[in-house]
Amino acid sequence: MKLATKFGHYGGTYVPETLMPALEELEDRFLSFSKDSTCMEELSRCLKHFAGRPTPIYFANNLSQQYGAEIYLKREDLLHGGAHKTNNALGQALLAKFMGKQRLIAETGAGQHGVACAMAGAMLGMPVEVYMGQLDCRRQIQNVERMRLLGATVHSVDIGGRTLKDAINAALRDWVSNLDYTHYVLGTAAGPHPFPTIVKFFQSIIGKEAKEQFQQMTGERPDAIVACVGGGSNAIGIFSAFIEMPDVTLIGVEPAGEGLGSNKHGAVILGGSDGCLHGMISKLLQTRDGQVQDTHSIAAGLDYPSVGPEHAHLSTTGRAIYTAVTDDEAIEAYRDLSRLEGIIPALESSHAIAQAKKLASGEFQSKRILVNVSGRGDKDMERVIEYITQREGF
Amino acid sequence: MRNRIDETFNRLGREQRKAFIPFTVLGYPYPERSLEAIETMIQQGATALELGLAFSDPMADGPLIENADKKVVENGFSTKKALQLVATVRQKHANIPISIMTYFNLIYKRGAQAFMRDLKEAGVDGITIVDLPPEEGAETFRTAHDFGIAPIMLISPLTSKERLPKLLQYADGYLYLVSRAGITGLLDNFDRSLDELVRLLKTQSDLPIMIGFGISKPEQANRMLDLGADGVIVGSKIIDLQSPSSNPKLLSNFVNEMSNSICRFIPEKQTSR
Repeated sequence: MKLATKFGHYGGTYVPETLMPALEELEDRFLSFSKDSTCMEELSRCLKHFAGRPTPIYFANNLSQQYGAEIYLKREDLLHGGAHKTNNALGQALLAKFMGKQRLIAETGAGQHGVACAMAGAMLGMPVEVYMGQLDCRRQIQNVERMRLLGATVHSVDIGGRTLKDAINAALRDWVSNLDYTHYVLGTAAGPHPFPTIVKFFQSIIGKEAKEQFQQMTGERPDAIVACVGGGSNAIGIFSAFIEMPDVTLIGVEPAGEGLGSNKHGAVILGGSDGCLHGMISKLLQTRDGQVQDTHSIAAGLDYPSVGPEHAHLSTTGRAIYTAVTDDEAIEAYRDLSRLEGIIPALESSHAIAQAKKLASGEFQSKRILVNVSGRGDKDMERVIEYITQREGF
Repeated sequence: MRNRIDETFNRLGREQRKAFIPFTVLGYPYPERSLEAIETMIQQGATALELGLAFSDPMADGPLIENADKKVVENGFSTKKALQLVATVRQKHANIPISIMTYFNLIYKRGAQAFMRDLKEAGVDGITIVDLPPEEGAETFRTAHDFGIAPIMLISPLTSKERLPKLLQYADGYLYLVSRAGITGLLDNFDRSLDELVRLLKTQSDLPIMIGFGISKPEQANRMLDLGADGVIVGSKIIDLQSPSSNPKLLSNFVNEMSNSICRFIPEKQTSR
């Protein structure tokens, strides 16, 4: 490998021998791709005209008054497809084309990455197959239908917890069996090197734009940046432009599910230990023997027992702080943003909103908080109504 | 230090015979049935054993072994219990080579030193770590060597000539050549370049070459021997025959048929064509 494969002692290439040559090829071709001005122009063109970049920053006046801080929203929910996932899917689909691969495969949790890949595949004329846990297919049925409408094949994965982890296992098995003509578009900044680096490269556009836009709007830097963390691609995307600015506090928000004390959560950095899954060393929710534990979150996109290796590293060095928000708190934030600002956020992003509320009533009172609204929440309507009906009994 | 793998292959070499290594997952489908199955394999002529330590997320395995791993983990069959099962087998059979196949997290979590010590105490001779390439495994492989456990390296049809020395520097016991770029399972889409790879391996290493993945019939095994392999490893078919609904006699017959077909006298001239 030519690039560093690890962030501190996290990351690496813990894969079967058959995948090693493929990862070497991928790194090599990615380096050429990222230095090729024609490719980069094509990517910019697609991001602007197909996906609708740049996305704005919006000052949430009503929410700010209610919560007690200046709250700004980076509107990735306005990106084509409805989430930040399109940045990476488009980038990797173009990379696959550059590599001469004819077929795209992907895993998806909430379905947003699957949808983004299906869109990119349709636009570029490449067949797309998406692996999705059976439980996630059920709770994100609308996205399953969107993928099918866009021409992708959706495989429902019926093993294990039937969520994102199992979908990644299935996608890896497909990839290792069809390497010569298939590119695996990994959807988050996790997995074996070079995926965390590639995904960060494509998602760093969020941070680049946000830094400039925020400066123009306020003449200042944000005091804190808040983003939800499942695998961690939207968070690393927005953090990337601010990592070198120590006066900007970076806060990643994990899913506390039914509470950190319950065994039904997905707070990997807060509740996990060092382990190896999906080709990387990172934080992992696991048993004493090293068996991976099932996770829970109301947000399918955060329902993953490990996390991108750079987040594990940023947590260890203290550069970023990781906290957790429960299902209940996320639902409350989902409703707050909808009612106060007319913006329905994804349940994943609602975790970040909920954290902003906590910060605003604590040490960041009256401070400038920039929240990455990683996606929009139409996909979650049914789930939220069901949840509220159960809780409040109407 | 005594190494049962070397002893066994040296003997087979002198006798010009080939090896049949069945694979099963420790604790599958239940602990008692697992022990019975291992006893059956030994009685019916297995040359050596490859025993899987179940992992919750076996990414290189097809549905048969994946489901077996899942079931064993769900049954709460711990690594400790699995190694107790190995120790039981070892007490009864002092000479059969036993290697473990597993995924890196079980070793990483326990710590390589403690893990290899546990293996040694249970009577294990070798280890294959599916998701630990030489780039990441130097320390773990050295630790295995220190405890007299042979690192059995997986080699893929996609492994380049340039990568091979990286793998071979840690390899011991035997080489595990994967028959195709893919996952375990019954499909027999063997890679077309296997014969070239076997020839290349023979020029680079003195270790015996075992071929595995997708072998479930004597004819397929014999094709691999014709390519110059020193033996074959069979996993998914064994797991299939061990399913709770399967008659134990079928496993016994299968292992008997395979070992009779494979572990026979094959004069050098015939294999080196």
